[in-house]
Amino acid sequence: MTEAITYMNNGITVGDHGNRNHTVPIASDEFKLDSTTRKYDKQYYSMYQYRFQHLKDRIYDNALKKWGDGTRKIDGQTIIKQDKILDITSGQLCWVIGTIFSDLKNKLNILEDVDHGTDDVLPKAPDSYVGADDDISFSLMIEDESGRAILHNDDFLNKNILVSGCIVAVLGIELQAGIFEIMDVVYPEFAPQPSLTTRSNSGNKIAIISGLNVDYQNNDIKLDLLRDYLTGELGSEKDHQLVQSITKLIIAGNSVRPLKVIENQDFTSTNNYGSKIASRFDSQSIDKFDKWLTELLPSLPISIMPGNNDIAEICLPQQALHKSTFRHNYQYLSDPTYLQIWTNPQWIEIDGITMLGTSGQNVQDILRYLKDQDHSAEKILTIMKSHMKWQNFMPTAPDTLYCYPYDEFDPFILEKKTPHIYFVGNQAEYGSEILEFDGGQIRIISVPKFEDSGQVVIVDLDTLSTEVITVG
Amino acid sequence: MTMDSSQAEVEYLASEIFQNGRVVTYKTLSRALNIHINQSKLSLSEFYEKNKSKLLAKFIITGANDDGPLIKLTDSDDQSLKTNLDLFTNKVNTIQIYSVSNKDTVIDNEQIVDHQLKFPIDSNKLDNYYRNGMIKGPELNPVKTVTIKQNYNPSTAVPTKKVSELDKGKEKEKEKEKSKGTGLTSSYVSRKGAGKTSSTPTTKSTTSLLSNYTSRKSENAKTTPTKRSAEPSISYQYKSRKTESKQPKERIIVSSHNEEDFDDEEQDENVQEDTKESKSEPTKTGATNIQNLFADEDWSDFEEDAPTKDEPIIVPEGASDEDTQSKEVSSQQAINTHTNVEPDSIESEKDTNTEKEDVPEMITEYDEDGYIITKKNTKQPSKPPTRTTSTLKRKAGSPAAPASSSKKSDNKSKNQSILKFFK
Repeated sequence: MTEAITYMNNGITVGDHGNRNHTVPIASDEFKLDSTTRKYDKQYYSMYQYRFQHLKDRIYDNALKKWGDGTRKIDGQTIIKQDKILDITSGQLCWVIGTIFSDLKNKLNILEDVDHGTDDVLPKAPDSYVGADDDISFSLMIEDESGRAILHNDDFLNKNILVSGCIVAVLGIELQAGIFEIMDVVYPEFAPQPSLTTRSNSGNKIAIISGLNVDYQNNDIKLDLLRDYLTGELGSEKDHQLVQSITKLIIAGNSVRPLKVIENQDFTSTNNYGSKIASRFDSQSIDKFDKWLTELLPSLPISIMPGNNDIAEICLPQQALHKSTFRHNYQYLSDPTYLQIWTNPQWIEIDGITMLGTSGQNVQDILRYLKDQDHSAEKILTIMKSHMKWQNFMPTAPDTLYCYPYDEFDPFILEKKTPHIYFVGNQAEYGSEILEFDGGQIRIISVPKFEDSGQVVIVDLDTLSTEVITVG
Repeated sequence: MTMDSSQAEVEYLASEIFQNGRVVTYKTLSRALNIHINQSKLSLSEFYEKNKSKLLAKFIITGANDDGPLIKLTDSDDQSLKTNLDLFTNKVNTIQIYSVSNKDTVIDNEQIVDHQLKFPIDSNKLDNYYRNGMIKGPELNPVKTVTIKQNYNPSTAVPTKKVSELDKGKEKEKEKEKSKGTGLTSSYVSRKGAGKTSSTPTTKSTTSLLSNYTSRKSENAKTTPTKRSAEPSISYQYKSRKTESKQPKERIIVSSHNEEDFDDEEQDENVQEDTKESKSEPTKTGATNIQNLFADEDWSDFEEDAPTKDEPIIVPEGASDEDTQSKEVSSQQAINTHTNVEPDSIESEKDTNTEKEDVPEMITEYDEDGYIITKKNTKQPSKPPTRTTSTLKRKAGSPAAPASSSKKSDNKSKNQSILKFFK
């Protein structure tokens, strides 16, 4: 207790708590979809085609460097390149470029829904697409326009994550007809990363939070503590100094808790339009979230991305939340640098740093592809690193992630630039790591759900180092 | 460090905690008495120390562990304090009081949060909060409404207008009421299909439909019945569209209907901006709006060619009273046409005898071709013969027609055929 007494009211003095700098993130319009020109009558194949066409050459360069074409030998066998999967000859060591397809037992299947007459109801995604019987239900293939080959080599595939939609080159030998023993894999070359030399050492930091899950029925005191901490009202002078350097709060999705889905609710609910679609959200929860922002905004500019649990369409890219969600905060919306409503995913430029962020669906979905149900920070970071290696941070869209049917375009591949910071919200654990690559490095951040962890990630914009504030 | 609490603070604390049995947090004390947040912490702490035997307190420990800053809420007993202090492996910044309550009343964290909600921020008095210890955010630089449109919602015209109006007029209360119905309406429109923009289905869109209809009605009232056969002449836009639609006579019906709808909505918004009174109108008739929405559409289905297409443009800016009145009349009529044909047919009888002579000619044309209907005929939405032809036409000709009723019955057979295909 004596220890406690020495700290009691330490550094609590009446005085001005100062001002905050203003760093203005420039949010890209890349994922914005014009609601007047959206077309949903396109087939997804053109997305895959675009993806393949635009990554193929970058993979080819890398693969040629590593494996060559008829120039290198392994165990006496010459490595050759095959243009098509159909050309693979049995027993020949070769490499080929193609798109990965995971055939998993529990993947959602629209044909089954039609069979059961439930195709007009949004199916619940399973916790894992892999069935209980791993060996039978798990099969990974590589395909191109000519054909498919099943990839085989469990050890290798457990170490190197490959999921539907990745474009890679694989090296191996066809052992039996249609079964390709994979020995190595090559990813596309990284897109160029913008230079960081022009930055000013401002000492500014940004905070990234996700998964607030504001619920009108439950009062989470952590939200109050965090709010007061960020406004500088809670704690001592030392706390204020740290908090003052935070110039932006990014909310990476899942701000409002959806209503619990009652079994068969879709069929019993009726409204005047005969629609089976009922709102997943309670307006009081939305209102509460909005009011929480009202308390914070006079002190701290905020950017909000939609997530799985937000009033936004489920199709990726999720469009910015509607402004009426923030009816208590219209005055802050009037300044487009203050309260920003972003898409999910979102490219951001801030203090010369290029950031890419998502609300977590892309990682969540890949976790369902894996045999082990490991949701640790390490696993999440591995998946995020894989995103960067694949140069595609949402490969499973449109296979298992709802996605807008882009016409001969795929916005989810890294074509023009590789980010300096890549963050993903709503994960089970906090994690932060640097991925080094030839030509730069990427800070990878797994932002945990605040509701469960009480954690907010702070990124120093000068050093790109991270720390985590824990409230509880 | 110790600062004597003022008389007012002590009185407030005593009355809140002992008399009212409420919890007081350092923040509610600061807001209630407009004192500095740290003054509030010190006063609350002092009050607790002096009345320890009768009070329960919660403390906040701030500091850091190895991962970064740590903020812990703890009870005041020694054990909790110690346990929580041990978590601060890196450093402890301070221990401050968080809340104080009467020992006899059990108050949990949820109730504390609930109590704090009773002291919301007043955005008109932000300077007070900055003076009382809130870190001041950067200056707000509101951009003119035009720019907001571009920056914020380039995709949707309607919501942007809404907000810009709000920014101008600060009509927050009105907005609250309006925004309530959004969800339902939007779900309707999204089902409706591709032709319409999905961004517009706020309550505003219903009003636009309404006013659209109204103006048509008022036009009918104004123009003499003989005018029906004449080409619509009043607005420039209408004419040009008319000539386009004439070329593929039969098929155009559905598409021109959509086009018309879309354009009308836009135009109606303009009208609404001009006439403020029309804003309040839809909330009055709120309950019937939904019905009107459908009634209106049915109506326009077989009226697509009516010379009243552009009437929103025609609506005189000054005549808002007239406009709203006619709106009511028209909405009633819309319901009538939907449920009961009689009133309209009576009306149409009144209109002209010459039209009646025209009708049989149309029918013969129809018999020959199966679904051809000349536009003169379709102008009369109320006439029973026209109605039948239009419904028949839907079945026979246009696949794009909003066949909501037939859709369900088709579902089963569709499903089966799909299944067969894949089996």
